[in-house]
Amino acid sequence: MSRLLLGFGLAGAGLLLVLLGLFWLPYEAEALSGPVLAPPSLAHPFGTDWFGRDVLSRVMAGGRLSWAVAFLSLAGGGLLGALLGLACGYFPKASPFIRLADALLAFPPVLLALLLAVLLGPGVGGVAAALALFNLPYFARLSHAGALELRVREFVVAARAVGAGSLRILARHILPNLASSLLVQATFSLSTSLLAEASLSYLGLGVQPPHPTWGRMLWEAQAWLFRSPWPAVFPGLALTGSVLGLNLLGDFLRDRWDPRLRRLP
Amino acid sequence: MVATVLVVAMAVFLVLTVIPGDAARLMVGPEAKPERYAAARKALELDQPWPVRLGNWIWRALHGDLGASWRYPGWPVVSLLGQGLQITFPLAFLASLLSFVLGVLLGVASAAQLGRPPDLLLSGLSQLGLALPEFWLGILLILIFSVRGQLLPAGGFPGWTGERAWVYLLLPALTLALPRVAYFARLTRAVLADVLLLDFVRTARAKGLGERGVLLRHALRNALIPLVAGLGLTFGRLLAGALVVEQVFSLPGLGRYAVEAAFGRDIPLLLGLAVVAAAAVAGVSTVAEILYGFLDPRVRAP
Repeated sequence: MSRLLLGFGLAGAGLLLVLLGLFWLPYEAEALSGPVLAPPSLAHPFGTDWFGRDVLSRVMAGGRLSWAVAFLSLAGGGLLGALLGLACGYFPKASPFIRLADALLAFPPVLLALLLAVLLGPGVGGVAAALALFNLPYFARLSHAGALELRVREFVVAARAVGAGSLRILARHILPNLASSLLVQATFSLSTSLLAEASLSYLGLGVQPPHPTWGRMLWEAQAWLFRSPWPAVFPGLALTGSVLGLNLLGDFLRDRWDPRLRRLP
Repeated sequence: MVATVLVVAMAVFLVLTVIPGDAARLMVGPEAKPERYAAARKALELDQPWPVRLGNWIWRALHGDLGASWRYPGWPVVSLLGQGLQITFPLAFLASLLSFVLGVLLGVASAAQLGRPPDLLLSGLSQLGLALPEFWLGILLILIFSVRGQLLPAGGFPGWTGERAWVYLLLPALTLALPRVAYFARLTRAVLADVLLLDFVRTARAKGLGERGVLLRHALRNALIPLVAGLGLTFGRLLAGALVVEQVFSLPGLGRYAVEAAFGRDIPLLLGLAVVAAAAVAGVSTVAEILYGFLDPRVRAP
């Protein structure tokens, strides 16, 4: 139970900070609102950076792109992956195509991200597409295995016997049975996408400036580390907290819904 | 092993051929005369169809020539890779060894006391290891050891001829090792938890062997094979994937070249890196499989 609370608390805090930032920021993210490199205070709870910009406001604004890319890549990769997996699992003729997903999985992950970043270029769309390809194989494998297993079960055979078409069976009978494990995978994919987006933008291969992102903020703050630690501490805290929260949430949901996947005690 | 490398290289080659963008145009600049542009296209073999280029590339690669870098004019890819490996190889080695030793120690401690403090520490550590971004962990370690403690350098590398060069690899290795400690600890703990219920363990206890002897002499041996497999996997992955941490500590390793190659669309260099990455993972697992024979007589038996 504590895992649920902690997970919800951490991931919720990370997301809430960003959602609140859509409507209200303590200061403009780019405004020079205080002294340079100030430690945390009442006026600037997270301190200020080397230009005197408010770090809290920048963390709130920087999370927008990180979360947006994570959700976009989850939606793209999850949808395409589930479709591919269902089709390959349900229609025997399509089954060789599941090898596509396996091939994506076999690539060294860092290299794949780098290649895709070169291939698709910077910008929200490119990064989200690259990370969607990252997420795709996991959803494809899950739904492929599920469809293979459920296809021959009595309730599916019965549905076919009363005249239901393939699409109806897939949508009404097979998909609902996979929903819980797909949702569990979704929380983990969301957290790995957040991390991967931050790594790419830390390397300078993600969404390009002037938009702040958590990864880019950390890269910039590193140059000022010997003068003030605060601009490097808080964006990382927001990122780690969100990822940790999502992972805990995923663990909880898995134990709750999917006892077969439960970890070793 | 050769097949794996070949398949990865061909896949990367194909991916890179479909990238939009004209390498010859990039090389000579937008205002170059048509003759120079044509000459550049010819030099880069862009006037040939891609199957011919792929064939040529493989033929030369088999002779130890991976072409010339575009980003670093005048440098053959092979010597750039060699330079990068001089940093990345010791770094990956140090990091995997560190995480292996710490992980096995923690794993044994937590298997000896299931549900007690070391065990709880382990479950906390594995969650953190999954969630902590490597670059932030690196920054935090710099804050602790370089800014506050002033014990270790915050980055850079003086070259192997420099004084106490290996000191510059300590913090990066620690950054890479810490998130992976939990992996080895869980591996150790899982095997030990199974083995400790078996008859030969009861026999060892019955003949009066102390708990330490049971764990280290009898039970831990059973974990050697999965542990060596894990060590090999970690080492191979680190050779190809220490990129972000090398950037944090500005080490001129393979990862630095990978990022530079990505920025500069340096296709020969990217291809070379893909070959090294695939060869590292495949090569290390081959070595690990040979080691199994020494560790476990059952593997040796026909």
